Amino acid sequence: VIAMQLTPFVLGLTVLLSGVARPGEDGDLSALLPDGRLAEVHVPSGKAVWESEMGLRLRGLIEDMGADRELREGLGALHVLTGSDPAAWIELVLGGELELGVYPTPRKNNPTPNPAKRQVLVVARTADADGLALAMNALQAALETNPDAEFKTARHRKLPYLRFGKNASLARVDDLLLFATDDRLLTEALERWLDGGLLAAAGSGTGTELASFEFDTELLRPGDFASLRAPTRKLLGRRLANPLSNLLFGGLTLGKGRVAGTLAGVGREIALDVCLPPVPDDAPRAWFPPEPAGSMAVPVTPETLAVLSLRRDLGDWWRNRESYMPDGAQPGLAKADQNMALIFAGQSPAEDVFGQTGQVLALVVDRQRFEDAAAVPDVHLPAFCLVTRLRDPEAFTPTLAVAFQTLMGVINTDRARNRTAPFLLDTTLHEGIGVRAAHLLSGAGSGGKGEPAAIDFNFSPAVAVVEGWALIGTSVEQVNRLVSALHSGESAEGRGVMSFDIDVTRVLSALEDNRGALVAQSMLDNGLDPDEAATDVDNLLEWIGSLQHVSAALTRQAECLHVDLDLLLGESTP
Amino acid sequence: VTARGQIAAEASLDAYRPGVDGPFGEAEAAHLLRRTSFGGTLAERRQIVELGPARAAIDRTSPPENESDYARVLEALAPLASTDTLEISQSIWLTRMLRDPRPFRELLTLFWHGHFATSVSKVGRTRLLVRQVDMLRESGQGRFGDIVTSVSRDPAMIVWLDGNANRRHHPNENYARELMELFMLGVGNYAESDVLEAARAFTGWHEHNGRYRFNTHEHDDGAKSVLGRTGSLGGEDVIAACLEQPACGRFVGGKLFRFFVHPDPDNALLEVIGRRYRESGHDTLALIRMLVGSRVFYSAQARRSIVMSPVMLAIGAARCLSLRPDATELANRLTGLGQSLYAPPSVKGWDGGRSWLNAATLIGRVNLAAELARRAASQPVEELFGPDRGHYVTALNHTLLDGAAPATLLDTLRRDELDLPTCLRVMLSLPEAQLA
Repeated sequence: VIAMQLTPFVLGLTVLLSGVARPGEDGDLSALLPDGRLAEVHVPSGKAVWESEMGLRLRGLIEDMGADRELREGLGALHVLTGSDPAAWIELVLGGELELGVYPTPRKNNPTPNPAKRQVLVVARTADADGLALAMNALQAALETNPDAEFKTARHRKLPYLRFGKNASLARVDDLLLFATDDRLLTEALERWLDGGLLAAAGSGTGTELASFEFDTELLRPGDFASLRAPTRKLLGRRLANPLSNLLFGGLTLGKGRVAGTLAGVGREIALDVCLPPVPDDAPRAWFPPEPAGSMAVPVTPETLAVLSLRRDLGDWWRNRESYMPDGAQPGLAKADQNMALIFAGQSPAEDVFGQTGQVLALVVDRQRFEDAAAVPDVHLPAFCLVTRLRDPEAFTPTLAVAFQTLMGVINTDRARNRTAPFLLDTTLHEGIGVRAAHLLSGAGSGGKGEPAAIDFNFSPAVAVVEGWALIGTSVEQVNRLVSALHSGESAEGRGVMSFDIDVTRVLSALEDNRGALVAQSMLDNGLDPDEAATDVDNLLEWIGSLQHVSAALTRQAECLHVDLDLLLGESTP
Repeated sequence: VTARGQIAAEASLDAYRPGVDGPFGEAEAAHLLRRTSFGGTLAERRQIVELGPARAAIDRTSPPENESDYARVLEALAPLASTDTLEISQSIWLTRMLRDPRPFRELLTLFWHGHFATSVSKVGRTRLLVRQVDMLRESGQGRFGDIVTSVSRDPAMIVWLDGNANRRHHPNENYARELMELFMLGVGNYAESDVLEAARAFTGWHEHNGRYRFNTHEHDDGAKSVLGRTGSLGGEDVIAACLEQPACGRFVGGKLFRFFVHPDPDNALLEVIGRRYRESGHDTLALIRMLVGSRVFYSAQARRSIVMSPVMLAIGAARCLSLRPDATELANRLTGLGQSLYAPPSVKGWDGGRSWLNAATLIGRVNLAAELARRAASQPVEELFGPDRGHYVTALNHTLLDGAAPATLLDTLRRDELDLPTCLRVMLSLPEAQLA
């Protein structure tokens, strides 16, 4: 029973703390890990992780989710059996250095491992060897006096250890605690210890480094990562069917090889650096165009919630869509090509539209204020604007104007068929720049007579060309702000081939604009009363508020495809 | 219709007398709840037994004394109303059915939604359909003439049956034809010339920007003759002419009878119902109260005689057990089972009856039962049945099936110690559970 309760406890916490080791360093616990591991995690100091801001927030999250119940039950059982304080157990076992290895499971009469099952070995170096010995003795004594306890004592080269059924083994040697889901792994680790595989204790890490890890991409292949594999393939497959996914992630195939990374934290700042296998030299320029000569900065506004920046060669991407996207997607793409030719007055989408864009493009997401809007809808959607550098702004300006006019005509025809209010095209000057915009005519659905304004009033599509950039947005309010940003130089720096920045504080404000709708949706989805749903939504907002900023970048380097993710935690404690 | 038949029909509509016509216990209370409230809890049954059939018929069809909690629910849901999306609008209506302390008004609204069937598939704007259903909820218990007048001016109905194309020099008879054939009189009770003349009377009844607008310039104010009425008739005159026809009370009253009592009334009964409905000024609530308090309502012929529509099945089970299902998920499942709210298949509405059941929908109903069972698993048993429930197999059989589950099945469920969600899924999948 204890083994069953402890297994998720140890595994869960260790995985949460992200740890396995870099092999080969003196005194590194990885010296005890048998060869053939698929993944390893090293945590220099469990205590540092536990007491870090990230650890604090994670513990809060675990408690909020109620996921700590199982852990508490396991610790409670230990408390009852041994009489020792559960908190002391945590500090004893997880307070020091931790090493975790993940291994394949061999099969009888089959040379390939079982793809559906992995084995785990955890080695923890405690700060208190005497305390660990006492605790283990107490545990063994308690087990021996409990008639229901399913365990037996075993020995490997005279070293005693405990076996709980077939799937859990536990041993102590000096200041080390070893746990394995496979008896063979545990005895091999003990063998290495006996043979002097472990040298002097390593230091407690670099100070800011919380954990490091390394794994083989084999880990993401068949078997127990099936649930992760499907979306990974969907996201990273070379021939993605969905054009948007293809544009974002196509070409970024997971090559064979090792993935390594580190997790570091200082105060509220957390950084995850991951090195993926490098992309081939002949990777398509659609996703890996040459480095641009100028800046990668894209305009942002005081209301910007998030920016996704991309470095892509759209012309190459569209010209070679037949080889970049699967056969099943081709009919749809051909139709899209025809429709674009229609909207762009017969011009070639590959050459005259996509080919006109520079390599820097971005999607800017803004909170809407509706300051000059004819009607304010109950549900406030964010505004989206596609921002891209142009190769020949002068030539593209009339092209964009005609396309906008044609597109709005098509939309208005469809709206007329549904007898909904049309958009009225207009051109206004904002800081000397002509902004072409389409506003919904007030009238039907614009509120009044006790009715809220329709959700359509979130949209006032607009386009503009300014300072060599094209702005194509869902809201004229946002496009005007971006025109101002381009004039004032307010910008965010794009990084690598893809990067994003999310201002979580502003996202939170945008969500709070829609608190009523979120409460209503929670009522519908969860069958809650208004008060229960309000509490639910407040908890969600509070949880989101535990973050302040998130940013990430994907950078192509010679030795690897580098991912860095930076989190800034919020100041409030959840 | 023979005199003997007419006397028997009159007698069958007399008020049900407990002890004389039969018992009035929990089985009768459950029957009344299924027909007026989708279904109800064991506690609600006990209240009904205490009230007796006459007072219970009034109680279940009247607004509750206090509905402030329900008002708060509706107020909290309001921000989503503007999204104008079908799925959310369906979820909100289902939540009304689940939460309304007197769900009779929602059940009757569902009836009228099927009667004046209008679909978003052509109307396009969900908001107009929602407003139409709001109107039916508001006026549905009143006089039928008022209901039809509101429907005739309803923007969604005008779009649905091409009212804007009904013009002075080019009358479009779509609405006039359905008004007589499907809404008021039934086939064979009017002539083609009545339809054509009635269409002229409704010229100019247009929709503009989601509102009704009487377009004087497009209205034909010339002389017309409809069902014996002659003159410069307008739409209201056509409605009045239809209401005067004995066929109207028989047609609409008969449809209400089939919905609330049983699906096979004979001609004598239809004649009596039609006459009484007409004599009351087509007072819908009065007719329904008479029907659900009558001897025929509690007759063996009426019990478990109606194949439940998907909405009635789901909401009924949820109300019996006080479940709070995911309304969005429920809306999607009901669409899969053939009952997409705000989107009936045609102007005739849902066919109903045995057409609800086929190989595909039976599997869908089992899956629906599984979904409700999952929800039941997250609620304490006491919440489902109350404190004195006994064994949950017994309580489920009692609550959902009035004790009609086969004894062998009950023995198996108890012997194998199957958990409550499994038992619920099994019982909701039984043929008996498909009948109201």
